[in-house]
Formats: sequence, C-alpha cells, structure tokens
Amino acid sequence: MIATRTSTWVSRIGGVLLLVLYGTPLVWLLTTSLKSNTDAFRGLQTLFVFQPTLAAYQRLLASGLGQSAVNSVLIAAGATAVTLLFAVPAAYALARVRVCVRVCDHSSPPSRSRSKRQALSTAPPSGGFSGRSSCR
Amino acid sequence: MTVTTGTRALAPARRRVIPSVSRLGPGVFLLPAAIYLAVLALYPYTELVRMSVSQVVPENLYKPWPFVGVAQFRAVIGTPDFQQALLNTFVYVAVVLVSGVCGGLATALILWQRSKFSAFVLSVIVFVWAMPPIVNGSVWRFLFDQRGLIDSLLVAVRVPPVFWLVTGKLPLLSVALVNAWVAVPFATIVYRAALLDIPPSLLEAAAVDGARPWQIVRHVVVPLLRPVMLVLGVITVVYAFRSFDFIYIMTYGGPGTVSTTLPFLAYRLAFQSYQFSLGAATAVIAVVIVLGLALVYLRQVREEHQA
Repeated sequence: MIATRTSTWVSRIGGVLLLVLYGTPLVWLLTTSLKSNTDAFRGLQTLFVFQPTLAAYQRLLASGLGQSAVNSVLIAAGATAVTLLFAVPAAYALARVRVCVRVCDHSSPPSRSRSKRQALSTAPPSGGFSGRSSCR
Repeated sequence: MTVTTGTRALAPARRRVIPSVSRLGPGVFLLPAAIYLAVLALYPYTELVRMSVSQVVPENLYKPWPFVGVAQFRAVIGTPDFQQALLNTFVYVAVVLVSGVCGGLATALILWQRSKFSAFVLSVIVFVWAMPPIVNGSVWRFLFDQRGLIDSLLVAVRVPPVFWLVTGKLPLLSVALVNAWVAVPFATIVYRAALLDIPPSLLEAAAVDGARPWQIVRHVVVPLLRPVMLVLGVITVVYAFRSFDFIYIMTYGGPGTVSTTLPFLAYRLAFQSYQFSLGAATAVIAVVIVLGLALVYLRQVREEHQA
C-alpha cells in the first residue's frame, strides 16, 4: 500500500483512459439502439444529440424476439447442464488421480507401499508431460 | 418415518458404496467425459484428418472418399491465398498476444488500487469481455466505418479519415486490435488474481529499501508474475489463432484476402467454394501450428517451474 499512494494519479488517468476505451462502444451501442437509421450513420454529429426513438425496439418485438430469447435460454441452460453433468465427475476423478501422478513423479521418489496402493486404486497414471506439470 | 430412522437406514448403504467406488477407482468418474469427448471431439478430428488426405467434392461427400495422400496439402500450400493467410495469421496472433499480455498487465496495475473507481472500471471492462463477440464485432464495425464515430472524429479535428476497414493492410490490424480489446479484460482478471496473491510485505520491504513505484513493478512484481504471463501467453496465442467471429463480422476476410487468417481460409475453402479437402488440409495445418506453439510455451513454463 506504500507503493500505491505515489501512483494514485497513474491509476486515475489510466482508469479514465480505460473508461473511454471500453465505455465509448457501450454508450454508442446503447444510444444507437435509440436512433433512427439516418441518425445512426452520422458519426460524431449524432453521438449525443439526436432524436430518440423506440422504433428499433418496436420492430424487434414484432419480428420474433421472443423465439430468439427462448432459444438463447435453451442453449444456455442446455450447455450449462451438459457441462456440469460431465465435468463435475471428471473434475472429481482428476483431483483424485492427481495424487497418483504426484506419487509417480520422478522428482520425489515415494515410499514403495504407498505408490503400490495408489496405483491399484486409481486409473493408470498419465505419464510424461501433462502428469508432471500438474504436480509442479 | 422419523428422521433418525432415515439416517440409520442410510449409514450401512454409505459404507457399502464407498469401498466399491474405491475398488473401481475414481477414474470411473472420468468415463462419461472421456466418452463424450471421444464422440464429439476426437471423432470429428479423425474425420478432418481423413478428409485432408482424400479427394472430397460435393458429389462424393456422402460416398467413400478416394485416398490421395498429401496431394491436398501440396496443392493448398502452393496457393498465394494460403501464404497470405499464413502471414496474416502470424501478424494477427502477434498483435493480439503483445497487446493482450502487455495491455492486460498495464490494466491490472492501473486497477490494482482498491477503490470504488477502479472497481467500477473493472466491472465495465469485464462486462465488455462477457458480451457476445458478434455484438462487440458489430459495434466496432460501425465505429470503424467511414461514416462511423472514429473517422468522423478525425474529420472534425481536420485530420483526413483513415477508412480503417478498407485501406491497405489496416483491416487486419483493426480486427486484431478489436480482438485484443476483448482479450485485455481476460488478461486483467488473471493478472489481478496474481497481483492480489503477492504478499504486501514484499512490496513494503522494497519500498523501505528505497525502490520507486516503477522499480517495484519492474524488479518485484513483474518477476513474480512471470509464470502467470507464460500461461496467459499460451492461452492468448491459442485464442487469437482460432479467432473467427471478429473476422467474419467485421471484414469477412476482406477486402480481397487482406484480413483472411488460416481458420477463415479453411472456412472459405470448405463452405464457400466447396473444396472440402483443401479446407480440411488448411485446418489440419492450423491445428498442427497451434499445437506446436502451445508445446513450446508449455515446455518453457515447465522449465521455469523446475528452475
């Protein structure tokens, strides 16, 4: 926290720059949704000053937004469910197998009895590169 | 039935389940994911490789494919489109890698301080990262448009407009920068986690020894972040290499082939001109390159760990 006090102004100016860099497209996105088609293509002229209209939203609602929203929810829910269904058991298995990989690591020779028991109770150790990197 | 009998009934069952699972090993739980990946990832890859060494045209797509060896690879590597796409891919990856890894570090350092302002800025950039690529790509296509915000801003300050998505080699750079714009928030989150992990006593010790803030960053923070940087480098390279959506939305690989990268060329060959085998060969080359790059980086990470 000593280091931060002197660099407060760096943090402030940098933060403002980031806000411009990341905020402008967001603001532009929001305001363009409230513009008419002609205003949308006037660049700087209509960045802040324009005739707000909800016409785009009206047209969107009339052209099957509901079905698209339902599809999005279905895909999001389905992807989440399938991912959890397969990944949670796999994560449990990998967390347990890692014990074996660590025991089999060349850099730390284990006691014989332990490695034997581990080798019996877990899936075959994944040797080589991936195994070693997972135990550091 | 009361609660107590319920738990009593459960207890022996539990004792029976645990030994049987441990006899089979926790590897059993890996099986569903392994099968799922084999069917939906491994099988398509073998089909891709098979397609790249065969002669596949729309007429025989659903019939046996005649084997032609490396002829497709030889044919596609010889085309100027491929060579251009290969070069474009490396430029694209380099731009995203450098601006993502460096910009992410700068952003994480800027937002290191705990304050309401930096929390707000962080939430804005994370929001951007979470937006669908099609939204980000579309917004930037309009901002870079000749009637868009950036060029009209330049005209307003008496600078000639740039025409970002049309002029010379700029389209490739513009799309890469937008991709980096989305990669930076991710890098920031990763760096931020690592920064918060640094014990404050280290920084205080450096400050007591008379180190200036930038010296602390240069000689204490950056060395501590090296392992994170390397892993982030791998992720960013893979992410940039397979980039498709931003190119598709912003330039569609054009004008001409100026912003066509390998994955986009593969898509164009396979699904625009229906030269499935050429597209497959391009995709295989892309996969091999990205695997090679990832292996080089991972080896470095491992050496770093052992040192």
